[in-house]
This record gives sequence, C-alpha cells and structure tokens, in this order.
Amino acid sequence: MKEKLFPVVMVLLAAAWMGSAMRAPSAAPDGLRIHEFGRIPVVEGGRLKPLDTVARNHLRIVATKETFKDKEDVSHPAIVWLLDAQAGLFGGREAHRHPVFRIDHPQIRDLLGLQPREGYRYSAEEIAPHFDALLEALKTAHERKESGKQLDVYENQLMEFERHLGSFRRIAEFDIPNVIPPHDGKDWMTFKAAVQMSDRGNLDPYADGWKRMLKAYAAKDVKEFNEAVASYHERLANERPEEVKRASLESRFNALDPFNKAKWLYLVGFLLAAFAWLGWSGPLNRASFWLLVFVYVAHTLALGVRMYLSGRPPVTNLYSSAIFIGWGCAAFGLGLERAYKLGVGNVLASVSGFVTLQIAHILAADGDTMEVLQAVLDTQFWLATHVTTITLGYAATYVAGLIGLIYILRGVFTTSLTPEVGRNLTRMMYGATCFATFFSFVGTVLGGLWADDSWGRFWGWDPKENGALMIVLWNALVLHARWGGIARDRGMAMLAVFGNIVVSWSWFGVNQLGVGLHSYGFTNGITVTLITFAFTQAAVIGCAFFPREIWRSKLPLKAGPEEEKIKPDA
Amino acid sequence: MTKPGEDVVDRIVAFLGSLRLTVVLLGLSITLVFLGTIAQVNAGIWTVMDQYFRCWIAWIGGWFPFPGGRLLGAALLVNLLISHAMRIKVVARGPRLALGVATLALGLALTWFVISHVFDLDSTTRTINPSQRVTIQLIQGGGAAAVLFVACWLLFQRKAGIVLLHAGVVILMLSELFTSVLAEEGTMTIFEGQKVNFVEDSRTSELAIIDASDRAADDVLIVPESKLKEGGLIRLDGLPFDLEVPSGKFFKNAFLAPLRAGEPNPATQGTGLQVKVESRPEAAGVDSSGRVDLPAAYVTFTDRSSNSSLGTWLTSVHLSRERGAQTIRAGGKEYQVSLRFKRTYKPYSIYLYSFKFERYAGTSTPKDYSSNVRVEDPERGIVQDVRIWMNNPLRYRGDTLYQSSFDAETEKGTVLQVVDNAGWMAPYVACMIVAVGLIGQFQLHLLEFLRKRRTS
Amino acid sequence: MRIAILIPLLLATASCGRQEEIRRYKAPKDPMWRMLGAIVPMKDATWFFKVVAPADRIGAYKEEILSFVRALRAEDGEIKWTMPRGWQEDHAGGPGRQACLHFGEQDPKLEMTVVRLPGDGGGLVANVNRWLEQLGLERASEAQVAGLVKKVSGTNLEAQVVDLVGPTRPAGGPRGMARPEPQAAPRSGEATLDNVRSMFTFERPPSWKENPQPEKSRIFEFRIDEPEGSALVTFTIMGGEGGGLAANINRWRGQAGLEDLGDQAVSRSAVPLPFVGTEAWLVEAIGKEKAILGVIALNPQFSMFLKMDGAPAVVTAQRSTFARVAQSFQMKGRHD
Repeated sequence: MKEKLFPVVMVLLAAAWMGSAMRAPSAAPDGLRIHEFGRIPVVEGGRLKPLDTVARNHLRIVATKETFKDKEDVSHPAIVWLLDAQAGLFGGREAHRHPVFRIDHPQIRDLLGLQPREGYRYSAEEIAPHFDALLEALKTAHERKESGKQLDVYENQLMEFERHLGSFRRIAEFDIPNVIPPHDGKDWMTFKAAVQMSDRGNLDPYADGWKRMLKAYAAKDVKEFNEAVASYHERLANERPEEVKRASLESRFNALDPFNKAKWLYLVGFLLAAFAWLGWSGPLNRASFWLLVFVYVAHTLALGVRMYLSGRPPVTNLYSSAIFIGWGCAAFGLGLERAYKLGVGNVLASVSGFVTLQIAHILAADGDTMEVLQAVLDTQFWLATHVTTITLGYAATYVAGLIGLIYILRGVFTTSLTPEVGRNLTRMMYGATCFATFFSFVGTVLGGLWADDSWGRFWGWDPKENGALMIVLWNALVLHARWGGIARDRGMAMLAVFGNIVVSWSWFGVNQLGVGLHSYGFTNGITVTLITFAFTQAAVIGCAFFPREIWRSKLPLKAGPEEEKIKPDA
Repeated sequence: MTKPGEDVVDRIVAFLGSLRLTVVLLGLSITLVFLGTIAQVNAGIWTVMDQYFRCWIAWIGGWFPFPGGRLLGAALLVNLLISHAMRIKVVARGPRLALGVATLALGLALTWFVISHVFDLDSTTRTINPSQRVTIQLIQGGGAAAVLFVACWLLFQRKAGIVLLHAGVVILMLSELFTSVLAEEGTMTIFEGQKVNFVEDSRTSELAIIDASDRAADDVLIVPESKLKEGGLIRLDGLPFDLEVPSGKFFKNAFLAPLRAGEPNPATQGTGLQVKVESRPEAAGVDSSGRVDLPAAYVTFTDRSSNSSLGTWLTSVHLSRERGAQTIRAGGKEYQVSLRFKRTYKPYSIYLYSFKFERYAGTSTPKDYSSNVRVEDPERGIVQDVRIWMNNPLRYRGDTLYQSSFDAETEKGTVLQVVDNAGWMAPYVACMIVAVGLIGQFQLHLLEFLRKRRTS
Repeated sequence: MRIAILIPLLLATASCGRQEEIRRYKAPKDPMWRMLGAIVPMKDATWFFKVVAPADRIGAYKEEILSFVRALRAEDGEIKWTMPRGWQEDHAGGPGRQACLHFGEQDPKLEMTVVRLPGDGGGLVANVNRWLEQLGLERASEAQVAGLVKKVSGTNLEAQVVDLVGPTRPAGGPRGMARPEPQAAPRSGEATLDNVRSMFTFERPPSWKENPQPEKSRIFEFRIDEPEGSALVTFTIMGGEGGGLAANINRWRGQAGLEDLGDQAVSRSAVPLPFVGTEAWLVEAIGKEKAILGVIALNPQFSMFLKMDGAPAVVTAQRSTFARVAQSFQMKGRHD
C-alpha cells in the first residue's frame, strides 16, 4: 500500500508547491498595490511587456537577483526598485539608498572604498563619494580598449559595471521604457516625450496618469497611489484590452517562475531515481517517473505560455534553445523509461532537464529572454521548422551521449552493468542516434533552404552551419561504425559521449569564435566552461579505454548473438 | 586476367567499398569542417571556402597537407557507389522488376522536372507568403521522393530506404559542386528614382576601358582582375594602346592617403597625382560588418603606334565611385578608364520607387526592410511593379533577387542580392528524398524492433 | 562497378577553374545624373535651390522648376516662394537648410533643397565646381563657368541657373561651402578645400586614418576601424548660426536612434568646452546601434561641427581621445 501511495504523494507535493506560486501576488505589506502597478503594459526593446518584466530584467542584470533587500534588510520585489527609481523624478530618493549594485571584483570595491559584505551589493549612495575615482578608472580602461589592447578581467568588469549604472540612470530619468501607449496617431513613447508633445497646460492624459501615480508614490500616499493605479488600469483596459491581458498573463508568469521551479523538481526526480539504485527501487522509480511526468507537463505548459506571450515558435534565441533542448531530452528520457523501465530513462530526463534549465537560468542574466528578432530572422515558418528540428537534433544527440555516459560509468565503476542492461542501453543509444541523425539532417537542410530563401545561398560554410554539419556527420559516423562492426557496445558508448562535445561545440562554441577569441580571450566564462566540459567527457571516454578485465561490471569480451542483429549485413 | 591480379583488384574494390573507409572519410570530413571553421577567425569566408572546401588538397595553416573538400566528397561518392554495388542487390524479378524500373524512370523524370523548374513560374505576378511558397516547393520535392521510394521498395525491398537516402545525399553533394562551379552572385545598389540594369560582384574587380563616342551604346573593354594581378604587358586588341601593371602595383585592398609634396609617386597623370596608395590587409574574419576590399592599381598605358607612354595612372574602385572615370586621349579618341567591381549586365532593369526601413518601436533594431520596385524588360515587353522584402525574393528569368541591405547614410538606397543559380531547387528535392529515405528505413527498424518485443 | 571509378574523373574536370580573359562587349549607356541648381545672391546671404535626380526624371519637370525660380521674390532680406500646386514643403534637414520641397507625380518624389549661406556662400565659381565634381565632371575655369550659367529673372531678384549632367551620383545633401576668414586672400579667387584645411591644426591620433578625399562638404574626415565596428570622424563648417544647439543635438539623437530632448534637458546634456577660441558644447548621443559624439561651436558668422559617428562600442571607447583632439584644435589667425 505504501508502495502505491508514495508516487502519488510526491506528485501531490510538487503540485502544491507549484500551485502556491500561482496565486496572484497581493499588495505589499504597506498596502500599496505595487503588483497591480507591475501589470501595466509598456514597450521596451521593441516588445510589449508588463512593467514587472522590465523591473525584473534590469534588477537581474544589476543585482543578479529578481528581489532585493533594502537597508533595513527587508526583502522587496523588483517592481519596488523600479518604482523608487521612477519616483526620483518626483522627489523620491529611496532608489539611491537601495543596495542593489553587485560588485564582485575586489579591486572595484577597493576603488570605491567599499568594504566586502555578504552578497557584495551596494547602493548608489555608497558608490557616490568615490565616483570620480571610478570615472578615472573607466577613462583609462576605455583608452586601453580603444588603442587595441586586451582588457583584463578587472577592466571588463569595470565596463560591465558602467553599463549597470547606465541602466539605472536610464530608468531613473525615464528614458526607458516607453510607457505612454499609442494614441492620436503616435506610437509608444516615453513619458518625457509625451510631456514635450503636450500643449501647454494640457498634459497628455496618459502622462497625467503616470504623474499622478508617481507623485502619490513619492509622497507615500497609499490611498492616492492605489486609486491612481486603478484608474490608469481602467483607462487602459478600455482602450487596449488585448495588451492589458497579455501583460497581466506575463506578470503572473514571472511571479510563478515555472522554469526555475521545474528545474528544482527535476533535481528531486533525479534524487529519487538515484536512490532507487540503492534500494526500494520499484516505488522510488515509479515515484520519480510520475513526478517527472508532472514536471514535464508543467515544462510543456510553460513553454506554451512563452510561445503565446512572444508570439513566436519555441526557439528564438539561446535561452529558449536551452529550454527546448531540455524539453526534448526529457521527452526522450521519459519515453525510454516507459519502454525499458530500467530507471535509466528517469535519470536521463531529470539530469537533462536540470542541466538545461540551469543553463537557461544563467543565460537569462543577459536581459529580456523574449527579445525581438532582427529582420532577417523574423519569419515564423522557418523558426517553427528549422530551428525546432535542429534543436531536437541537438537534444537527441545529448540523449545518446548521456546514455553513453551512464553505460561507461556504470560499467567501469559499478557492477550494475549486466549484459542485459548493456544490450538495452546500446539499443537506446542506437535509437537515439537514429533520431538524432534524422532531426539534425533535416534541420540542417531546412537551415540551408532558409538561407537560400533569404539570401540565395544554400550553404555558406559559415561557423554555425559548419557546426550543424559536424553533428550530422558525427551521427552518421556513429551509425556507420555500428553497421560496419567497428563499434560495438563500448565503442558506441564512447562515440556517443564524444557526440556531447560535438553538440556543445555547435551550440555554444561557434558563437564564441567571432567574439571570444578576439575581445575576451579565455577569460570568458563560456569558453572556459566549454573546455572544462570537453575535458570531463574526454576523461569518461578515457575510462572506457580501460581493458574490460578491470571494469567492475563483468561483460562478455566478445559480442553476443543479439548484437549482430542490429546492423545490416556487412 | 591472372588470379593474383584479380585478387588485388578485388581487395582494392573491397577496401573502397568498406564501411571502415566510410567511417574514416566521415571522420576526416568532420576534422576538415572543424579546421575550416577555426580558420575563418582570421581569414574571410570566401578565402576559407576556396582553400579548404572547394579544392582537392587543403593546406592547413599554409603548410600541412590535408584532403580538401572536393577530394573527400569524391572519395565518399566512390565509397558509396562501390559499397552499394557490393551489398545491395536488386531483389525484384519478372513483372515486379519491370514495374520497379518503370517507376524508377518516372521518379527520376519527376526529380529532373522539379530541379529544372518545369513547375515553377516567375514570381513577378504573384505574391505568396514564404511558408506557402516553401511548402509548395517541398511538396514538389516530396512528390518526386515518394515515387522514387516506391521504385526502390519494388527493386530493393528492405534496403529501399538506404538506397534512397544515399541517393538524396548524392544529389545534395552534386548540387553543392554545381553551385560552386556555375552559380553567380552579385549585388544591385539602387537609389530611389534610379534604374539599374547590372549586377556588381564586390569580391573581384575589373578595369573597364570605355569608348563612349557612339551615342547608342558604349564600347567596353574589360581587363579582369586576375590579369591585372599577374602584371606584365597586356595587349589590348582593338584599342590604340596597351597597358602594363608594374610589378607589385596591384593592391587588393587599398586606402588612399593624401600625397604630400615631394613624396615619390608612381603616377604621372590623373588623380594619382594627388593621392597615393597605402596597401591594407584583405577584409577578413567572422566580422559581421561585411567590409569589402577596395582594390587599386597603377596602370601604365603605352600608345602602340608611336610607342610613347600615355602616362601612369592610378585607378581605384573607391575613386571611380566618388569621382567617376578618368579620361585618356589616344588615337584621336577619348577613353574612360575606371577600376570597378566586376559588372554583369542583365537583360532587364530594376527601378526603385521607394525603400522602407521599419524598426521595432523605440529601438533601432530593424524589423523589416522592403523595396518597391518596377521590373522593366524590353525584350519580353514586361513592366511590372513588385515588392521585394526580407525573406521574400523576386524570381525572374532564372535570377533570384533578395532584399539584402541598404544605404545606411541616406536610407534611400536599397541593396539587392542577385543570385543566378540554376540548380537552386536541388536541395529542396534532396531534402525530401533523404527525409523519405530515413523515415522509410527507420520505420522498418522500428517495426522489426516492436515485432521482436511483442514476441519476447 | 568499374564504371564507378569514372565518377572521380568526371569530378576532376569540374575543378577546372574558369580562366578569365579580356573581353569586349557593347553595354547600354549608364544613366546620367542631372542637377538643376539656382544660385541667388542677396545682400548678406546667398540662397541655393537645387534639384538632383537621374537625368531621365528631371527632363519632364525642367519647365516647372524654372517657373518656380521665376516666381521667387525677395522680401525683407529673405527669399519667399509660392508653392506650386502639388508641391509639399517640409523643414527637416540640417543646419543651413531652410526647406525641402517635394514634387512630381511618380514615386519617389523629386526633391528641391533650399539652403541659405551667409555672405557669398563661397562664390559662384567655387560652388559650380563643387557641383561639377559631385557629378563626376571635370572642374571648370572661371570663363567656362560663365558659359554654363544662365541668368533667370525672378520677381525682384536675379538667379544664376546651371543645368549639369554627369555620370556620378552626388552624395549627401547640400552643405555649406567653407567660409574662409575675411583676412585670408584665396590664391586664385576661389576658396579651395586645401586653403581651408591648412588653417586648422590639431592632434591626429594614430588610430584615426585620414581620408584625403572626403565628401565635398567635409573639411576633414577620419575613419577608425576596430574589431567591434568602425566610426567616422568629420569636421564641417556651416555658414550662419547652424540651426541652434537644440536642433543639432536632437538631430544627432535622432540619427542615433534616441528620441528628442526638451530644451531644458538639452542644455543639461551638453557639456561646455572651449573650441578654437569659441564657445562650444560637447554632446553625446549613444544609441543601441549607433552612437554619436560631437562638438558644436556656434558663432553668428559660421558654426563648426566636429562629429564622431559609428558603432557604440568604438565611439564610447574614443570619448577621451575625441575630447583631447577637440581641445587641440587651433585656427590660424584666430586669437583666443
């Protein structure tokens, strides 16, 4: 009975956790309806979004978090920071007191005379006294950059910090976002522009609404603020209902933070599957499986909402490619678990889900994850077909590689790789590689067709195309090696693991070429991570080279009859 | 044939058709692609294409010999054909064989028709959105692929998918070969109100010597860049003078600097008296700003009849654009001399009504560029208004015109990429053939696998 | 099977490159560009009315343009015109540019630009030669220029009209001709670019590559090329007060993709800087794709603009160099 209940309990707990975040956030403790304010739709970076997203994106860039603690150590959501900054126009000075600027580099802190503290976040007020020193240092850094010298980590961080300060200044001076909706034939514009364009004495009604809200906030007049926000919303809801609905949905989506929650649940699923190897495997594996199914459904729904909000097919930039690869790998993993019930599928789905969503989380630090697309990229058809297919190809290659890792690690370091398990894993790798070949080939050719449709050249041998070609060729190589009898179980596992390196090169490595080798060199985080990753995979392949005799799992030294059936007559 | 001889040939053939060789060749190909990608950091894409992929031997780092793209492609092709011949037998007999061959013939004919645009029309008169257009093209390819698959199924049974997908890969490779040899690309830069009837290829230049005395048409003599690079004396038949490029006086990429008084100067006439050439490295790298090389050359003209020098002139692509051609007087006539990007005249001309550049609200990120043009073709009597915009090219008379870029300074000039590539439909067909082949083959495996699991 | 060996031989033939030869052909004439310009000298200023378009387009409108010129009248020292039916006016454009008139039935509309420069605006011969160069024609002597010019009478003024046809497209819009110092006597009666140039000295940073043949209106032009992009530095002089500080700042902001500032914000954003002994402002407009740094020096007689325009990464890195160069500008004959 306990065995049947356990999976159900796990799923219910997960559902409850996710569900709790879905309740619409209510007003702040002091009664100010800041979340309603956060739902106001504005345009920034060419895209319609709620103010809440603007606040979160910018705070995330500046403070690496979407919430902040003020001087009294009370936690506030990002929208409060934005409000405080904007209220600066009407006399508020709160924003300058909030410690939000994260300064990791000790040399910069020294320059500004700041003591190290937990979290390394400082306020504008604390930075101000030594601002001149900062400007001097920046001047030197810019000069060095302009004269073509390589900048060191300190200088790069300085310039990054300059960008953060600039971001804050633009919010405070209301240069971003465009808050005044289109009316009277004018497009979205900033508050300042609306004020300028108004006739003397007759302020633009929307600008007037903003003035009311911000003045009330600066004066800490709760009643007036709430009324101002409500009436602004009402006006907007009448004139632009569609935008209000979307902005509202997006702000709830932000609050829910589904991808991060899914990430942690994937980790829980992994722990369950890992413990299943130690004992009580039936219920633990089942619990893991059903929990992962739940997470997967949530992952899918979140992906769907993203597609609705951005109006685009699932993959449009690096961030969304990470989310989609995770989705694809998890699907494969769960499918394999259904077919083989070895617990391997669970591990696959959960590890790939966790890792890709963590990568996505890191990529999100760059700014708006739903940024608009450059003209040449702006076609729904190709985004839906080429990009999706090739991303699935990446996912399938990773799946094969993950299975390869499991095969080698289990075989060398544990006794759990029985011949039966070995055969099943090999079949899984083979199947995944077949899928990978199909998707990556079709995806690459679709990419070529897109290029031909856009600028007349099917194949231009540029780095991204070459990366995709390498994946296709590698998968083909693995299949041919299998069919030619050159690679059996172990060989296939080794080749599959190498495939991980090839995909990572194609996904991230080629992007670094134009940038990484010129301006950042090997101090860039991504390049370092890539190289480290490649080494870890190479290390595992190296382990596989150990003679079979010293593998902890005893496997037959010659290929059994079962294996012969997989290749066509050679 | 003696036994040992046959034995050797058989062994060679077996080697050439082995899967082991396939794996090695694929491994070498991946390595070549990787090395070529790294090389692009410092060299331009076109240079790497020529040095690594469109040649027989690739010299890595300039000194290490490695099989080039063409060699690997040819080897893979040989390996494929021999391996198929060795392992895949036609299993059909009698009526099935006849039907199979007939279907194969039909399939090949369809494929040929699709590739040679029998079903395609110029797009001047229709505007379809890109997804429809591409879907139709893929469906055409899919149709041919389906017929071919049926033929392969009849002839080869279980191996049908493999044969088909390899055939598709071969078509793809041959199409890239075809493109590399025969396709031509260039750009048309048109300002609002202007009509242009030629295409420029900024990858190479030519020296144009024009006799404009005839009111109806210009008499143009072209000296291609390759000849200028070679240097030496170049006879210009039909003109009263010859030219020579002194050695080392052709610069693939040059910057023109002001000439200070007293500086040595090879030029004795023309604009070359005021500016001098400073050589610059060729535009290179994965630089997305797409800078082009601006060639320049010092050219000495010699009057053939009197053997007297007509001077040494500086010609440069940049100067020709800014200041027009320079005039040489010889044999009682005037000749306009200018170094310009290689020009190909088209039988039609494009007139630009307007160029529009839309941005996303509040940003400078381009959302869409579009050109409203008029196609004028006196030969065919066509005068047609057409709109060309991003991802929506105009296909006319075998050329495809794409909205590529625009004049950033005035935003009133459009740059269209014009591609003449007769085989552009081949990849669409190849894609579908391979896809059908792959699906067919994997279906087979999947069915077998499921059948086995059900019985186990 | 042996036939399979033939394939590589076939492929080998494909590798034969196409060796290019000298060739000869008949080509259609390149379309010419035509410029109809009217120069109207007044007491303190000179007005320029100019239409530039492909030659085959202007022909039909020549009469319309000439009757427009004939209808010009001088009023209170300014020139006023009557808008013919179907013509539209807008005031976009740089300093010195008074208006832009659009006319014509077919898209794109033809444009007549109206520019007012103080004094003689450089003189008839200099301006006609500038236009000849823009069209890719050879410069003309004073006598030749006199032959090109036709006098057309307006209501109460006289216009000197030229109708020029040449092969090159004139780039850019009409800008002021450099107005040399009153004391400096130009050598051959024309103010040449070299004369003006030799009046200025300033620091030239090594990474700034000079372009010796800048567009006609630019006195100096430099290019900075970096891995992350490039930037162009230009130095131009306009007659007159150049449109005012706010207008110029907002124009540059527009070019950088930023929107305009109100007057207060404008004066806050400009940093005062002495430049060539004149009061000047250092201005920045840093957009996402394009960034502009500039020094604007306004003077009742003429205004000077030193501008850096290009990729934001490059421009922001050049801030201090730019400021340094600006401060090093000296003009001969000008006392601080």
